[in-house]
Amino acid sequence: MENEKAQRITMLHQMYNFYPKKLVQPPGCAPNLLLTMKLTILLTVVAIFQASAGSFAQKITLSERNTPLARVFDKISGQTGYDFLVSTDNLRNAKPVTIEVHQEELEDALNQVLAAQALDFIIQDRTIIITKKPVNTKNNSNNPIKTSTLIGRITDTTGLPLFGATVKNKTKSLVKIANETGVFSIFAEVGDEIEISFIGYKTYTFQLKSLEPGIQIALVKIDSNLNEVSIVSTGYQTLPKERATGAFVRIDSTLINRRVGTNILDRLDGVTSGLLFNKGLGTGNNASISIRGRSTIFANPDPLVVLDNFPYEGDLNNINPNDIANITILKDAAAASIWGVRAGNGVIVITTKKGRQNEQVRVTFNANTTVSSHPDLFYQPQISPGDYIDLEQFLFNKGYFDNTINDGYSTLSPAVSVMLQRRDGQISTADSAFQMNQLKGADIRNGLQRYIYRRSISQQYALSIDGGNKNQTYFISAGYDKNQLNTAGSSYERFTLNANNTYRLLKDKMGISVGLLIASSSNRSNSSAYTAPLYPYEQLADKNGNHLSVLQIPGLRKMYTDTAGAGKLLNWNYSPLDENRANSVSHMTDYKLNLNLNYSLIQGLDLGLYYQYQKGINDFDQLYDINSYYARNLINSFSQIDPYSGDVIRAVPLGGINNTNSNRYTSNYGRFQLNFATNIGNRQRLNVLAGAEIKDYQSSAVSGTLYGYDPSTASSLPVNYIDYLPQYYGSYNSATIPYLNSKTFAVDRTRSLFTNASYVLDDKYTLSASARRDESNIFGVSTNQKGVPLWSTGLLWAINKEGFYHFDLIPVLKMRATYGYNGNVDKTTSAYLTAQEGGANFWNTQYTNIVNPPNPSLRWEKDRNINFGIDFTTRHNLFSGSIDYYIKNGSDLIAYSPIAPQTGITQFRGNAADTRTNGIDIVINKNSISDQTFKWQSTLLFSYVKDIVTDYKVKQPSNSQIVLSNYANPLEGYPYNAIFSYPFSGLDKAGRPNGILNGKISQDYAGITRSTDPANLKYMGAATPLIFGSFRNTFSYKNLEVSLNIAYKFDYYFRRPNVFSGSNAFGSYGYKFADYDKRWQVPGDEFRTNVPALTYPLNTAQNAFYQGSEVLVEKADHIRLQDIRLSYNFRGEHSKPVLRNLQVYAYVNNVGILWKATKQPLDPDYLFSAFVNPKTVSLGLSTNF
Amino acid sequence: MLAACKKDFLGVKPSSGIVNPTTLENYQSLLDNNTILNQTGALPQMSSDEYFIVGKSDFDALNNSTYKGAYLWQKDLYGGEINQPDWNHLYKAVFYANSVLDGLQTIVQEESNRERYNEIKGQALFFRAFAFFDLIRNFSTVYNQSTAATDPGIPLRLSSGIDLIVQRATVQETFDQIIKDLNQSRELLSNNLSKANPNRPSKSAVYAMLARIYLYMGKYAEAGNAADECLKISNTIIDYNTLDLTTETPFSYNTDETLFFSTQVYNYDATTGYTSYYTNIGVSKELIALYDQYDLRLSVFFERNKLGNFNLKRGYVGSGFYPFTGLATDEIMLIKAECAARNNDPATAISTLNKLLTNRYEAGHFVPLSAPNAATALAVTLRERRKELVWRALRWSDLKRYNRDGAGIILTRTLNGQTVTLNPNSPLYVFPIPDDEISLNGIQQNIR
Repeated sequence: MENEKAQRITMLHQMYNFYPKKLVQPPGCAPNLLLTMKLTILLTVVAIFQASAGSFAQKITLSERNTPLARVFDKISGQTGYDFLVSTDNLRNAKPVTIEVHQEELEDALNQVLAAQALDFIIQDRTIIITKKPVNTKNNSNNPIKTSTLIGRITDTTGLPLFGATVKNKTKSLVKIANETGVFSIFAEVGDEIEISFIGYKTYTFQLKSLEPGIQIALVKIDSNLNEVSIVSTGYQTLPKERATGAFVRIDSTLINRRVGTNILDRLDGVTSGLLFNKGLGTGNNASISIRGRSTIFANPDPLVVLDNFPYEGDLNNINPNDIANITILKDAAAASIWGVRAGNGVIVITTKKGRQNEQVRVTFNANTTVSSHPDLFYQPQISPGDYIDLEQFLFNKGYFDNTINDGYSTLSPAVSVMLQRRDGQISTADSAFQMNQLKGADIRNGLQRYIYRRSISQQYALSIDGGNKNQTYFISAGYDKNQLNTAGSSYERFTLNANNTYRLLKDKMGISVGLLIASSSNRSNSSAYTAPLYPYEQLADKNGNHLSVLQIPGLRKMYTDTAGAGKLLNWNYSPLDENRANSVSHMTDYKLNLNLNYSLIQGLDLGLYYQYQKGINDFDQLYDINSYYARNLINSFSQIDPYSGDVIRAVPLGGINNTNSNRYTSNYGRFQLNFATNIGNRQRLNVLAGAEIKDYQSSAVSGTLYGYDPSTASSLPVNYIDYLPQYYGSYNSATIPYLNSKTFAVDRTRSLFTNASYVLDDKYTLSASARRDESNIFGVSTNQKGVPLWSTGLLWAINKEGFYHFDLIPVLKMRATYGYNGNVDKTTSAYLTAQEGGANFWNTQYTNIVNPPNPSLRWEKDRNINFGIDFTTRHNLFSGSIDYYIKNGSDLIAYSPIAPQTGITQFRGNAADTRTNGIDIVINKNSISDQTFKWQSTLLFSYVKDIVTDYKVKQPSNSQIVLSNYANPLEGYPYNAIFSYPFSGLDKAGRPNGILNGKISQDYAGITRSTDPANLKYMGAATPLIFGSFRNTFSYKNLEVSLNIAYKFDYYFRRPNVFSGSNAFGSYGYKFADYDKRWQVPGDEFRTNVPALTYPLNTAQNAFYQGSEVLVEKADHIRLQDIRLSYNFRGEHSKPVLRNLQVYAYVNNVGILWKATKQPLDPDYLFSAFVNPKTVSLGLSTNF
Repeated sequence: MLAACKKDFLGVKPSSGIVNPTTLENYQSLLDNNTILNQTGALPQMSSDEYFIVGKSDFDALNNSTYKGAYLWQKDLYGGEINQPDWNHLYKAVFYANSVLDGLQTIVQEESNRERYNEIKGQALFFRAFAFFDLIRNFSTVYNQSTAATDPGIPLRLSSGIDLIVQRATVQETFDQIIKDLNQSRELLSNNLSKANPNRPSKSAVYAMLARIYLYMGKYAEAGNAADECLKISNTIIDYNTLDLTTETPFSYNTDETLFFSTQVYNYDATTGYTSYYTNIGVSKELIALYDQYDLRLSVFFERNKLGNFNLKRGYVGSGFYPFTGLATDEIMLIKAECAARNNDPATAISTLNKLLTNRYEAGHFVPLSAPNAATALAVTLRERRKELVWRALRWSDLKRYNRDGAGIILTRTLNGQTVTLNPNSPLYVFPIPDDEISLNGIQQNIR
């Protein structure tokens, strides 16, 4: 393919050489022409394409009387399909034409038309170029051709003009830009070196052999992928990256399709500079992805996702990655400020595939299957069952369980039950020992691994058809995904349908496009899935596979449930394997309808009207049938046995329990936009867009519960929700039947004005500016009135286009700088005192809770962005890339401030904090030299980002707040996600940990945790990586391609979760703690371990100290081989079209960690997960024909 | 697009669950938040002598250092724990009341809404006074006429603005404010005690509250008058002979004696909640010994547990899990009796007591009391007060005032053979202001 295209360009060049006689340019003409051109708009092309005309008549018939020359050209063009190329100056000075010809040859007719004019013509590749006639030939021989103007036209290989292509006279250091029809003119002399370039196309350099006007140069696309790189989209406009002042990242469809999976956002992981997937941070207000660090504290941390023109309101899982043409990430103010208050966290603009003009029908098909390895539940280190039983025995002997034992029914672990039976003499020592040994030998993770968890299997199919002629383009696709998930009973299924049609009407003046996206998915899951066992030695099935019952919270001890009700109640045991199937299904449907209208009012001024309607419905249905533990437990709990008749009285009727929840939203977006583009002279260009936008988003949710539900008839029975009803156990307990019926709604409205402009001079300097103002119904009127106009400016300097630039090693060098403001919004705050419905009080009266004290000074968060960037390409395009340095200053950030409790609240949410973030994003591509059978391409992404909370008005009340809740309590001078710890000074002779308080070794744990002196703390580092990125290598040999992506994260820390800290084994901590076997046990152990001795009673302060101590903080740095992709392309080798573009591929994801700093058996990306994302292997094929 | 031109496009409220309280209905609904406004602190209950922790292992098993600190009257009461409900929760109630009082100023009073407006304003003032009193009896020394003008009281927050930090007023200023609020509330509230909403105060609750406060202050004449005014409006006493003595829930959420409903904060179930099956604590044996065999209160209030100790039943909270600390006619009758005795009117004291006790004894077995003099009448009244008002969080403030008046009551706890003593008028009777309050605004801490 490459070779084929290369040949075509040479041929065109030869064609141009083939007509030497037409190159004769009279002397004296050129300076005149040049002068004229400078003063007028470059050229007007009177061009009427007649794409439908199958055969062009070469014979001309004309009958004109005093007709303007332009009209005559128009008619000739109409009859022949040839384009005319003529300067407006020449047209203006032309005389009217009177002519009568019938079936004349084209050239003869033209000679007659121009006979009385001072004009001549040249026919070049179906374009008729009108030039001036020589004026004076007398001195010809004495003045050989020295200076002139080169006029020509730049197209792609299909003949479409390349608007914006650069023509550079390297000898004379002049640069010109091709206009809308691809035509250019540049001052040149024979022998000059001319360079034609356009981003995405191969730069073409040649020595000027003659000045024949009408040279047509067809540029060859470098690679279809690179071509896409050139255009970035902000959601409001598309612009060549070459002219973008802002920090954009462009992910093209090849990169999107490199990964395999259902979800679109996952495809960005590891291939986008400055974008971090936050893993291992645990719970809290953390976004799953962050662009250039964290820009907010407690407001919405998520980037805005735009699908085509408007923010996407639906579930991102409903976007089929196969429908996506490209993704642009907007990182700085100039890129993102067009989105105003929603751009503070960066913007991800997703553009769907569209049909292409003048393309034949193309069918694309992609199918793949992904299988994961089995989840490894032994990933997290935890206490062994034997050790746990020993610990329970220790606590049992201390009387720890006595209170629970004495109530007669609360859950007692199997081991404690045996201890109790032994203590009460119900079983013998031998029986007790036997049963204990049985328990010690069991490990629930074996059962979970075998029965509950499984391999995931995902299948994906996508089919699309697209094409277009001159007046219409279309793209229609259908996708189907079917995933079996990692836990038994859970599965996911998705259908998507995407149709897009664009019509060009009124001689291309009007464009109408209609888009429809329908996604329907269903998610089945088991909400009773047994994934959180209470004891490590539980068993799901015996040796023969018989299902066993286990304990559950809230629950009852087995000794109680075995006998309660003397057979009159329902079975009260919980056997997970009897319910190991889906009982919940969530059906989600999203519709999106887009209507776009573009109308060209006058040359350069376009009007755009955009409308989007989106509707989403999510129906959740959960059925606990009568056999489920949930239903049996609830029915039994609310049962009473009449002591006289022995009848069972059931407040919760027999039958299933059906929970339903229906969420729906509708959103309407409207936008009115004017685009203006004009060239001022031939050196300047101005683009302006301005408009207004309005949004109305409404959502509602209805939920309810049916009791006594019979799924076969959908019938249900009424219950008493009001009264406190007695519980079967505990004789004095009472409760109300869970009442889950509710209806809520939300309305989100915004009104915005925006404008964006760019000015280009000589294609060397680009200046951009944008501004936006938003108003919403969130804050209330007074804050809206104040308003926060958000704006940005940017500058781009193409240094390599300067006359003085002769650095051949780096032929392309551009510098960018932007400055401006983005905003962010927090929907949970309000300027007013706000309250929320709390439900009914004891006396069935509705009451409300105050959720927000009044805050009249509430305003939008603001984020000031400064970005400096350099884009470069080295000689022969071997290396290319960009380096960006940025500073972001967040101000007026919404933050919780701890506040004196006497105010009635303990945390106040308002504009309380400032942050400062700086960072570097580097992208370096090593491009392959083409025309080799072996190719090697690499991309190195490097990001450095450091955020610091610069102002946080209220000090933390104690060091423990800083250590253990560091995510909720930012500290001035440190990152938002900062890890602090207590200095640790080993264990003492009794195995108690030593801390340091006021410079001295201390065991005053309460004093250490309560201290407010920062000197008693040690700053460990950030919890999010300061340095991260990836190194992606693609090797190809002939049609075989291998691609590997290595991801790295450096310079950050984590605190080990769930470790034994002396007495945290009791209380509500469960059994999932590590290091128990490493604890101090005998004097001398203090020299080999830092894990404290087991102590009783509970010592909360010591636990808090140890858990916050420095010994539990680990370096999280690691390097991971993320994935490997292997593909084979059959292209060009087969005559059958289906096979011509066939690619088969294999993809391995989550390959594994190559290196990590910590010796702990933990993966820093999966600190809180029960298992590391299993390795997956995908096989697939894609083709288009 | 057209809608955009209308001014109210952005005026629509963003969520159904969100209310910007502006109407009288909104304010009533804030005041009906009983889990905020109808609660009192638990520390006085946890520190009082009405219960004991059975064994060292039971003590060790308590998962909260405030339990332990309160039981053993530790100098470091909280052991580093912050977010103390005894302080935070009560100030939250003050914030709610102030929010309503501030909001009411924006409502135009007309003939049509005046009654309801006054009712809501009266409630808000009562709630604020009720919370202030709970705070001052716990976090300040007992009211002492001679030192009240200089003893540190509590921060008196009179507006809802959270940008303002208030220092501690004096004890005298605090009581002046409380009484002022209650007097104003009395003018605004109607006589109608709402049976449907006992969480809302009425005029009788105001008198009852005044009686309780004056009694604490040692102003017996005023206390007696307030008690009389209260009993003029509501004086129903339940005959315990009509109750089921076996059930743990002999009462409903709204008893005939309830004048105003409140409970202890929902935080300390192990030592203050009704956890009948728990054997880790028992009702003070000394207290149990005060009831004779025909006293129905032994069965109505208590039940025996596995270990032979007594556990508490649920009392006037119906099926609630946390003890009743509101106002009821039994307490007011006891105040009336005590004031009469202290004002040298033993006859009134004894007749009032007899009126109460005849409803507390097994029918036919009650022997009317008599007292030869005021001192005896007082002693009998105080004993009956202790027997009647169990777990109402009144014992601790009673101990404070008895000791102020020279009773010299010494409390002791024994755990694992070790004995801890609390001397009369010890500074340990005053709870420390929580650490987070001190560190966030630096108000004056109590010296313990």
